[in-house]
Amino acid sequence: MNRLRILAVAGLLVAGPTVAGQSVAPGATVYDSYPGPTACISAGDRALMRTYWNRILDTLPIDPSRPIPAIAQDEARRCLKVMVPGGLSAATAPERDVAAMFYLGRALDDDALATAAWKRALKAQKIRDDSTTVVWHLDMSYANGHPAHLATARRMAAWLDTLGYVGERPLLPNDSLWVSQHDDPNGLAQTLVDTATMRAELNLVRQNYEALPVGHRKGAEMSPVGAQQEELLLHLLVNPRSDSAVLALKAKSIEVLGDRQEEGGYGGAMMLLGEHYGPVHPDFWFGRMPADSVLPRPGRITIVQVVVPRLCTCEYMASTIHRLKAKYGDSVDIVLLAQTAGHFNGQIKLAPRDEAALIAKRVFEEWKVDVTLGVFTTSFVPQPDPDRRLFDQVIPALRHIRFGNEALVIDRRGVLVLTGVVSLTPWTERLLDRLLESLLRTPAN
Amino acid sequence: MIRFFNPAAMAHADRAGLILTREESAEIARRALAMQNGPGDMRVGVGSTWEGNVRWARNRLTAAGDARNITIRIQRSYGYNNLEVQTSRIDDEGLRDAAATAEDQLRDAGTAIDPDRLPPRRTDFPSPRIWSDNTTGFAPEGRAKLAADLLAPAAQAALWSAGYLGLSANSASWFGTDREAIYATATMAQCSLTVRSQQGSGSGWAGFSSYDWNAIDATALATRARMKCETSKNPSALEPGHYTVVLEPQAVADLLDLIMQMTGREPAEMGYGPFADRPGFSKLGKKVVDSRITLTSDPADPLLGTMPFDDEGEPQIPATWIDRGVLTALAYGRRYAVNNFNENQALPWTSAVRMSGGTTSIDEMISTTKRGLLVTRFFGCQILDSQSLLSTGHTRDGLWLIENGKITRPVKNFRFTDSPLFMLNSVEALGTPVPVFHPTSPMIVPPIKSTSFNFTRLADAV
Repeated sequence: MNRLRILAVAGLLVAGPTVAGQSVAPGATVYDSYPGPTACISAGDRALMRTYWNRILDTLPIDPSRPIPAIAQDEARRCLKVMVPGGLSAATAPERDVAAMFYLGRALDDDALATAAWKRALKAQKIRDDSTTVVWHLDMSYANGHPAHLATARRMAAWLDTLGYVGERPLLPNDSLWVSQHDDPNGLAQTLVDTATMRAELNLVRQNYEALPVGHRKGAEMSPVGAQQEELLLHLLVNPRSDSAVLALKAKSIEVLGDRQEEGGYGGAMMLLGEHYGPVHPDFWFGRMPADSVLPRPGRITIVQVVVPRLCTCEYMASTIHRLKAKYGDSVDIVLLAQTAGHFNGQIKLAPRDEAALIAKRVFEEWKVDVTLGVFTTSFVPQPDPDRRLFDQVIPALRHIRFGNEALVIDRRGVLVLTGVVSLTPWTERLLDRLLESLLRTPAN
Repeated sequence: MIRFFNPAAMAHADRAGLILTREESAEIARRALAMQNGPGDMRVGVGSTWEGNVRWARNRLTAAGDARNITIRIQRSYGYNNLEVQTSRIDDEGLRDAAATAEDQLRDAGTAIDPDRLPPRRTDFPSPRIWSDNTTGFAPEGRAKLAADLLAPAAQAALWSAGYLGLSANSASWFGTDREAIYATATMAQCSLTVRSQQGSGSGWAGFSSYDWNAIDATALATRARMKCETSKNPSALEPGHYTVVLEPQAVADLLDLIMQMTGREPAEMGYGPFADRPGFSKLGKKVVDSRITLTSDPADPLLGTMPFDDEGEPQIPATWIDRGVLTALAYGRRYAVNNFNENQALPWTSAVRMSGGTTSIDEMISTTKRGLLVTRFFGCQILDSQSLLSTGHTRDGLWLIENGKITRPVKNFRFTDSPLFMLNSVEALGTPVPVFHPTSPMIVPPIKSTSFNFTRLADAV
C-alpha cells in the first residue's frame, strides 16, 4: 500500500498532460490541512520532491530497445529544471540523489550520467539502499512494460554487472516472480495517467495470469478480478451506464472465488455490484439533512466510505472531499460510515453515544468536511481468561464493505457500480473525479 | 542525535551527589518542555547513573572506574508519529539543540495520520525497596582492596583469577505535557569471578547480584569459584547425547532468559515465537511447561524489586506469567491494552521473575541420578528456532559426570541443542529457589533436575 501511495503521489507531482489534454491531478493544495505552512513545505514539498522525485519516472518504460517517449523526457527535464536549476552533476550532487540521477540518466538516454551516478553509488557504499531501489524499479519497469520478455530484464541484469554491481538484486525478474509482480493491477493502474496505456497494461496482466499454470496461481486468484475492476473503471469513464460491465465483474468474482468471496480481499463487496445499495441504518446520524430519511438519495451520486477516524489518513481524505464537494456540490453525496471501538483519542470506556459524538466532532470540527456521517454501535464479546481481549461483533451493514480504504460508488439510480478501485484520497482523486464527471452525464433515474 | 558525555553535566551531578535528585531532574525537564514548538505531546526523560567498578584478570587489577552520566530523552509525538532525541547536555543550548532537532524531525515526518492519543499514564505505583547506601557507600579504595583479597587465594594456589565487581546507582524520571511526573532510584551491586588453572584444564565460576552490596558474600564466591576450578581439572570427554542434568540455579537462569525473551503478546498473536497458537491467538490458557512450574514477577517483592516503571515510564505491575504450568500472561504495551481491553494499563516486559521450586536439594538430585551431568552454568546461549525455542549454547566453568548417585569426574564441556521449554517439560525434581547472578534485573530460580537434555557435541571451552 505504501508503494501505491508513493507512486500515486509521484504521479501527482508530474501533473502532466493527459489524453484529454487537461491535467487531472489535484491542485497544489493537497497538503493544505497541515498545521501550518512550514510543516506543509517541510513534510510535503521537501520530502516528496527530494526523496520521492525519482519515482516520478516509475512509469517510464526503460528499455534500451525502445525509444523513450518524448513526453517522458519532457517530464524528466522539467523535473531537473525544478529540482536542480543549475543542472545535475554526478560529481557534486548530494548522495541521496544518486538514485534519482541514475533514473534521470536512463530517462534522458544519458548513459554517461546514469553510469556516473551508479559508480558513485558503488563508491559511497550505498548499494543496499539506493541501488537496490534502482534495481527494483528497473525490474518493475521491465516487467510492467514487457511482462512476456524476461530476457530483456536479464539483459539489464547483465548491464548492471558491467557497471560493477555486486549487491543484492532481490527482485530481478524471473519466472517465479511473475505472479507477485502482477497481482496488484490496482497499483499499476494508479500510476498510469494514459487510459490507453492502462488498457494495454491490464491486458498484459490478464494475459500473464491466464498464462500461468493453474497450480501456480495460489495467492494471485484475485488478479483477474482486480484487472477487471480497472477495466470496469475505464469502461465507466466512457460508458457511464453499463450494467452489463458491472455484472461481468461480479460474474468474474463468482467465477474465481465462488462462495469464498470474503477471502478475496473485498469482503464480499463484489456480490453487491449491480444491486440497489442501502438504505443504511446506523445508530447515530450526523450531518444528515432532515429531509433525507433515506441514504443514498435518488438522483444523486453517492460515495460511501468506511472510515476508522482514530487511525486513518483522514487529513488527506478531507482535502479530497473539500475539492470534490467544491466541484460537484449537492450532486454528489459523501457518506462516511464508522463504528465505535469503546475508546477514542485518549478516552477509554466510552458509551457509544459519547464516542459517536467525539467522532462527529473530529469529522465536522477538525476535518471540516461536508459529509453525512453514520456511526454504528459495536458490541464486544470478551475472550475467556486469560486472553481477555474484546472481540468486536460483525455489523451486518458493514460486513461486506469494511474491507479496506476503497469507496463504494453508487450511481444516480442508487445502484452500486464500482468498488475496490477508488477511494476518497488524493491518490485516486483524479480517477474518481473523472468517474464522477462521467456518471453525472447519465439520467437521474 | 545522540550527544555524548559533557563535562558540564558531570559538574552538575557532582554538586548534587552521585545521581540527580527529583528536583534536579524536574528542573531540567521543565526547561526542555518549555522548548516545545508545535502541536502534539512532549515528554522528557531524565536519567542519571553512577557506576563504580574494579576489574581484574590473571591475578592483577586491570581497571577501576568511577563514572557518572546524564541522559536526557526528548520524545515528541503527534498522531502516530513518535520520535526521540537524546542528549547528555543539560545546559540551555544543549537542550534547545535537542528539542529543535525533535521538532524538525516531527515536521519532516508529516502529519498524515490523525491523532489518536493514549490516555495519560498511570503514575500510582508502589516504590519497591531497591536502594542501598551500602552499595553507593563502597568507596574505590575498599573495592580495590577487596579485589586484591579475592584474587590472592587463587594466586597462592597457582591459579588464575579474573573478575568484576560493579556498583551502580540510577535515577529515572519522566515529565510530560500531560502532567506526568514520575521519579525513582535504584542501586545494583554485582560480583562475579572466574578461577582457572594455569594449564587451562579447569575452570570455576561464581557470581551474585543484588541491589544491596551487603547481600553479596564476595569471599564465599571466590572460594566457590576456586573449589569448582580445583574439582573440574583434567576433564575427560564423554559422548554427546541425551543426559539427565542437574542444573544449578545459575544454569536454570541462563535458560530461563531465553524463554523470557519471547514473552511478548503481540508477536505471539501474530504467529511468532513458542507461545504462538492458531492464527490470531497465543497459547494463553494452555499448558506449556511442567505443572510444578509457576513464574511470577512483582516489583514490590523485596528480593525481586525493580524500577517501578519501565524504560518508557509504564508502571510495572505484579504478574503471574505461568501458573502451575499454564501460560497466563504475556507482556503488552498500553496501546495494545487500549485497543484490546479498553484499559489503560500495560503489562510491561520484565526479566525480574521468580520461579517456583520444590524441596529437593542438589545433593538429593545427585544421589538419585544413575547417570547424568551436574551443570554450573551455560554460556553463549542463542535461539535457533523461535517457534520451538530450540536453542544452543555450551556449558562452562564446571561440568561433572554423575554416576550411581555420586559425582565421579569432571568432563569436557558440551554444546547443547535443546529447547528450554522441553527442559521445563522434563522436570524430575525442583529445589529451593534462590537469587542468582543477574545484574540486569533480579531473578530467583531453583535448581532443577531434568531428564533427556540434548548435548550435541563437545565444546572446547573450559
